[in-house]
Amino acid sequence: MLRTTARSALPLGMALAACLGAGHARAQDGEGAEGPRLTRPPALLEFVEADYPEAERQADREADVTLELTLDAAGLVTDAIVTVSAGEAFDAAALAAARRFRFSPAEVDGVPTAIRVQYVYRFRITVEQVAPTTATLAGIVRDRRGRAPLAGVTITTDAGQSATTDGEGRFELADLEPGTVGLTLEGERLTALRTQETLEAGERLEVVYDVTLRDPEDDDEDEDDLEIVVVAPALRREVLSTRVEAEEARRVPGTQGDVLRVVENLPGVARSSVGAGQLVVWGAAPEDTRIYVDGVRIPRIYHEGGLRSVIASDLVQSLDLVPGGYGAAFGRGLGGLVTVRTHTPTGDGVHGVLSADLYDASAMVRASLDDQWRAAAAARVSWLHLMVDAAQGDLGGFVPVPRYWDAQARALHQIRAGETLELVWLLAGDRVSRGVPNRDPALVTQDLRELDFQRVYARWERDGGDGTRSSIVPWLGWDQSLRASRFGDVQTSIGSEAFLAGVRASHRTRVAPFLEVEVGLDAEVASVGLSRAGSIGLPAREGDRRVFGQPPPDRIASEDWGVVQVSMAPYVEADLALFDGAVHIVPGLRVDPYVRSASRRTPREGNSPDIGLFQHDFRVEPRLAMRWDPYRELGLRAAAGLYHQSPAPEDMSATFGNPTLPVSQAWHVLAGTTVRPIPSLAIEVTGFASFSEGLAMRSLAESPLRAQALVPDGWGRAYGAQALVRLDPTEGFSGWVAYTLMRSERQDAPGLPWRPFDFDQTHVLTALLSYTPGFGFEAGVRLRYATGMPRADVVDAYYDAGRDRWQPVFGAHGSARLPEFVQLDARVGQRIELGDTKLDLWLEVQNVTNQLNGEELVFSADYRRREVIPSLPILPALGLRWTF
Amino acid sequence: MDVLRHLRVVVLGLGALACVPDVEIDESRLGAPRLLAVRAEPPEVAPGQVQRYVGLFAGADGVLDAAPLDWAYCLARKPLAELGPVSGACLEVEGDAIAPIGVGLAVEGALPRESCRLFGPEPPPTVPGEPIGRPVDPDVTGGYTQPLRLLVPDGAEIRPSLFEVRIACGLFGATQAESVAYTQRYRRNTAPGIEALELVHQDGRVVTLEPGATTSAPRGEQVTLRARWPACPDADACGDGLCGIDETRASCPDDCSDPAAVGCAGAERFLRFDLGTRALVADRESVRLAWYASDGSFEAARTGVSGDEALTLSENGLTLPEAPTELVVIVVLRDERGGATWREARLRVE
Repeated sequence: MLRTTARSALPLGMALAACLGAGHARAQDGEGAEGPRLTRPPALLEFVEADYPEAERQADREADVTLELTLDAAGLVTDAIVTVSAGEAFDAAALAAARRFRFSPAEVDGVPTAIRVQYVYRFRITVEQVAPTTATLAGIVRDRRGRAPLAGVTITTDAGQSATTDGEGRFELADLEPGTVGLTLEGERLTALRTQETLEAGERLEVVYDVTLRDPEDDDEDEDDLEIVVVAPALRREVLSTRVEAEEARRVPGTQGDVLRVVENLPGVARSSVGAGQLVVWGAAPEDTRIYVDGVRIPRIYHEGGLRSVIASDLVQSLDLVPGGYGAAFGRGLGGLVTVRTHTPTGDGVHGVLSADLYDASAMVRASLDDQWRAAAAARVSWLHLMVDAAQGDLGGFVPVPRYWDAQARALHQIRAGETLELVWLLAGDRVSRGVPNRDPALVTQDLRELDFQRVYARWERDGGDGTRSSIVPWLGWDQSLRASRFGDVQTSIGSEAFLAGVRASHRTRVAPFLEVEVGLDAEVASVGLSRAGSIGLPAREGDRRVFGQPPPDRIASEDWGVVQVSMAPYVEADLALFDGAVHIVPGLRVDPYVRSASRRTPREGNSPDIGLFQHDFRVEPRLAMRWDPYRELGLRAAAGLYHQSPAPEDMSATFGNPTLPVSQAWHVLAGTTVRPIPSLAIEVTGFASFSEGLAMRSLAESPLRAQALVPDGWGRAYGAQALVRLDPTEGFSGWVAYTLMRSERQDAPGLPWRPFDFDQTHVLTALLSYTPGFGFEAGVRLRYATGMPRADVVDAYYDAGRDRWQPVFGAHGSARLPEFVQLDARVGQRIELGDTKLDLWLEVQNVTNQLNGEELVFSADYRRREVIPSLPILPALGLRWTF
Repeated sequence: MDVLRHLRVVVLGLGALACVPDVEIDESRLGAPRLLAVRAEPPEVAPGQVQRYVGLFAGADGVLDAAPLDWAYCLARKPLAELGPVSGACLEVEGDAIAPIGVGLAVEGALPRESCRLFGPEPPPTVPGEPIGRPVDPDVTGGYTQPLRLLVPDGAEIRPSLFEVRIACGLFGATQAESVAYTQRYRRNTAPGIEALELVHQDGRVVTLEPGATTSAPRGEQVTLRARWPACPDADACGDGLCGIDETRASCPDDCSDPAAVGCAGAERFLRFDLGTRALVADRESVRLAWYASDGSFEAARTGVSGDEALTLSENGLTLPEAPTELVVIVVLRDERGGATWREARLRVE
């Protein structure tokens, strides 16, 4: 039985064309003409359904009426005329309805502007069938970089049906024939892209297409560098990777607009203590997680204190966190992987950003010199110490106020279409010092930390357009660090200076329709000079049983030594796509020789000559990742891999460590699923485990051998599950909930009981919600919960009559835990248009509820009283950002 | 002004991180009898030599003349993974690592002959056929110590305490010439002494607190206690009666011929092998003072003078109680190389 209803107007069939009024904007003709630019198309906010003319419906007539609507700066329809008539009755009905439409204001160069748009009002009679024979394809088209919806993109089937995305990037194609449907996407700055979908009768398939737009200056180039990413399923080689685009990361509460600080909110990442700035990923030690910027390893992602990252946010394109199971292109780390992709911003002329908040001030300037050259530079310097001195002068010496700076300079040369060469220089520096005087010289304490690094690299990339991609990144680096402390007469210092060089090269090609292969080389050479003096117990190591403020052991030693580490790892990785791409099998193999030398095999004794040491550990690292997407809404994945890591140069001291430490290794295993109940919502659940061995631990022997203060007897294991529920930008809302249930343990030597890892946190929950309704306003909240980290409780104490202090007697490692951490942060921001420039103001309030969290246990001098060092109280921070 | 207020909030927030909760205890208050210090006489001997160990066991009524302190040497080496001062085995009542000395407030014992192998620069005992083990690292004065375990009555309980006595050992890691020079020039630690304990009234009057005597002081007054110790010369001078580190029996027989001669009882200069520069350097001992009182309150429980300072005194404010009472004051002076001495005084607060 058939039932006929009148489906009046079809808002999804609305076509918006940027026919703008003269003097307000220009038509985007793709030729890079100068002039105003439509920065925000109007979106239909209030649709009014037209009355279907009864006579026409009786006659079973359908029609399209093309209207030209004039909108004022507020988005109200001030005029409407028919440009393509469908008859008087249809025209009148369409005009009557369209005049009551309400749109969001169109913005030209960021300014609300009057505009004229074309609107096709379609009158259709819908026939509902008891047994459906057609399907519907609906979805959203977004800019891949900022996830912003794209209006005006036309999706056309091979059969000729088409739809154009509305202001929210939505489209709908109804009445499609079931089966495989070929689709073409076309639009402004988007050359025709092809994809296909498989539809079943009666199905309504929701999809999200993330597309990469051409830069305006590239409009005259061919389409080789265009890219389409179908979000479901994600065609990414890492089976477990959380990517955050820079624009989204900037709005995350608690990060003060620092894009890279979003990492600490991702699943699998434990909370680090305030001020530590450490990344603890899947229960691995912070130093076991590798951080790469454009494939170049950097020593740390955050400045001291964890307030800021070391890369200007404006130069960050995206970041990926891969907590484990990553492919053969990376190695030399037992823990996770953070890869930061930077870029040289596009745009005509000279533009820039000035930012300031309570922590620091920064500037970024970019310029396009011509069609082929563009450059950018950024610098930041902290001024928090000046604030502290001004507001609380006598506090300065006690509070470890971080002083930091960083700078980046880069130039990009577009050699030809799809081929670029970029030269990049990175610099970062940190200084933190603190001193606590005391009338007792044995209780005077001082701390000093310094860290500087620089990187210079060139990045050549070529996209052949036929599936081949090549890149070469040669780089040079310099690291310098110093940690010095004094506790009474016991002075400790450890300094290092490293010169590094490396190259990362890869070539990826499609050797068959179902097979892509990538071969590459990841080489790195480091020559490190180190000097250490003082107590062997300071700095503390993971697993040390000690309490905050406890004096270090007062036995001292001293040594200077050097370490050279060479690693030249070729790798190969294949991407085997089966069953029309529903199954991806990605095997990889990486071969790393891990060559290293130490300048001294044994502690220095008298005037005997130093005898060096040369070692190599040839390691083959198999990797395997698999992904199966049986349905668009469901994906299954699994991965496993073997990873190795050279001993830290600091641990290769003949006096303080062990120059013969071998490489340690870890197995990563994971399996999980991704579910997309709707295109804008993704749910990922992953179970994981890692098993490591050969970890450097303090010798437990009463009489350790010389040059064996550390022994590779440690074992580690971490296992658990993580879940990520992520809402892509939808009607102004975006965010995610990340939860990790994990257990991370260490065994100090074979046969000893397993103990909790120092950073073990059973539950880690981060919930983020951002709201950007438009008009430049943004708001967001972040809720964090984490189990407290384990500590060794003090079960007794005894009086040390020689040192005149009480000494603690510890219980088992993990016999106590820090209090659980709960914190709510909030952020509001407003963008203000100032002529051709924009001013962003934001206010972040950390710990809105003034929750009393604890960061560390502290004891009275006789260890009979135990308290908790409080974390940050409610803490507002105001910032501004001027874009010109 | 708003900006400054905002700044203050932020700074105080950051300062909260540096704010350790109040877990202060009054370490200077004398209450139930407890062990306050241990002195070795002489403070530094070679393995096998006899030493006398004296405990300072005192409470609110003053220094006790007798106490059942149970003394023992500990023979257990400390693993590098143990960040405390000694092995946990050293705190046991008995065991293989415990070598009893005696019971009492003062005992005599011969330093274990293997002290320099167990706790000094000499290679530790090894199983035949195994490589040489790692010697113990020196302390900041370049010295090594033998741990002593004490069992001390604490109310109805017996609790362990620790004392480490300095051993006269050689050097590790030095050349033969440096070792010889060190042996020739190093002067063992001399027991420190308190030259005078003075009470400075608010009006500037200075009263010397004599041992065994009771001195009157007005209640509620904020007085200053001052401990003085002998001044030690900054440079050696032949004929001053002190055999300094740059004097030898040949260069100054008057000062260095008598092996039983006593050195300076203040902050002595001593020779140290600097591990960084691999050279013998001269340092001066720092001096620390622990202040105890049965009533009233000190400004600081501990004061001291670092080795960089030439002071031979240390002062501490004492607020006398408001109520009339008799006050016991004990001052313990420790030098950096493990020497200790103490002085008791009594104040009648009127």
